Amino acid sequence: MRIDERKIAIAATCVAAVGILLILFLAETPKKASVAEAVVAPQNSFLEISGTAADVSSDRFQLCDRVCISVRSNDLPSSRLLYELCPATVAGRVQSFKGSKYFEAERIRIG
Amino acid sequence: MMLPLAAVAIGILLGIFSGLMPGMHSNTIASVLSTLPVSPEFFAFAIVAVLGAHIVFQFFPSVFLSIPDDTVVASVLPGHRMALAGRGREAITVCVFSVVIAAAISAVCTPLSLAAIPEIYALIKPHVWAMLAFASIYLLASERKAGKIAIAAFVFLLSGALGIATMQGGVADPLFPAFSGLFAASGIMLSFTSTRRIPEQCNEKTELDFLPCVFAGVLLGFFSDLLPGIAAPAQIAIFASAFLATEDARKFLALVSSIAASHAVFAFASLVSIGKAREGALAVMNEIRPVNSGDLPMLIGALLLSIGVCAFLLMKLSRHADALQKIGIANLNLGILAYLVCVVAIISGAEGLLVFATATAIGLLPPLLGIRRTHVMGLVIVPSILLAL
Repeated sequence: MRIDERKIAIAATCVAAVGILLILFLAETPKKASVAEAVVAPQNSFLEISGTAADVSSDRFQLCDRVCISVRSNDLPSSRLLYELCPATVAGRVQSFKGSKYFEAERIRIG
Repeated sequence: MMLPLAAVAIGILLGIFSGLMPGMHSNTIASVLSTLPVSPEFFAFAIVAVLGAHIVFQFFPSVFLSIPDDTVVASVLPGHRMALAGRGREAITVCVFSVVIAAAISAVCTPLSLAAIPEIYALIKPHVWAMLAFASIYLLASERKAGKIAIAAFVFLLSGALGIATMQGGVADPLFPAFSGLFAASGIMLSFTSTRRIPEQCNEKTELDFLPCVFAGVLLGFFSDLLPGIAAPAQIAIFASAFLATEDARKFLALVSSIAASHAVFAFASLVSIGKAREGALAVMNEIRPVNSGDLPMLIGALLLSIGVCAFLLMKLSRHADALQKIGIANLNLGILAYLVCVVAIISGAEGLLVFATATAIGLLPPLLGIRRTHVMGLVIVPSILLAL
């Protein structure tokens, strides 16, 4: 059977385009994870983690379940409603500074 | 003394493995090794040996494995072309000789490069994005015909879109599935179109008229350590074709091999002098055992030892290349493809498999459409330009 290279090329282009769109879609959809999973997740992972807030300051706080991760709240309005030991769910990206992981919040839901 | 030697010996074995397995990169071995409970000293020497062995042994699969049918695929790689003409062993000799000479020259020039790299880097740093953009346009224009330039630009941008999408997501070790798909898996899939057997291979004797390409390769390897995203030897060789005659497959292979060797040696100087590890394996090493200029003689010595031992071993191995006729290459390639899928799934998970499949689809395009494979380096170049802007 003669292989038509043009058809293979068109099919490959379609697969590539769909694949890129899927990767972009997945990159913008947060995955539910524990704080421990967030600590070991690759940089830039988009996750949703839940726990209780601690060490709350104007621009950052710790989110803890069994372990804790530092969260940068980025002046999100909801971060001003945080208080010690209040339950919170945070969606954001895992980042790293000098080898330490932290969480860059994009959405904070209290309660 | 025993610890470095033991580490180098183990590193050589791992580097031979990674070099012989298409798609496997020394960075992957470095990532896996970094999780093991070994001393930082042992780790450093082992990684350097992996790098050296990988540089030498990667030429065996690139000459003898995953050869596509040249009636289906519009552009066949120079190494494959020589293997199909029964000159695969000669191709291996050219690569091995070029790697050894280039590594030795680069090692001698390392003290000079330690002083030169910071000066040159300070000069070009503000213009990195413009240099990358110019290099990309040059690569596209090298296709010469308008139709092919348009196709090449499409493939370049498609690869760039994959690069951006992959960097956005949290895929573990994202370049591994991407490069495995772009180069290894796509090559293997196209090789299934081939019904031809590798012909009997002639002896390894060759002319030494490719030496100027080796010297040019050393210089180009040095410059490649100054720019992000311009690291693939074949990509740099395209630039060199502007001022160097590389139509002869042997000269092209000599250039590519010497660029790979000098890029690796000067990466040490780049790491120590400007803190930029242009080799992923060295970046991992530097995290676990920070490197300073006093470590360079031992580390580069270990690299040269690894390259020397592996050059000898590869020349021995290439004498048995005819044995490849007896084993079913299609089955071997199928096994390698299955292995790649498994390793990607283990290292990068389900999202890594998606990146791998997408990259494989993109990697099929250049050979089918008759353009150079280096355009898929848009994967790294496009995000690098955007970051540098």
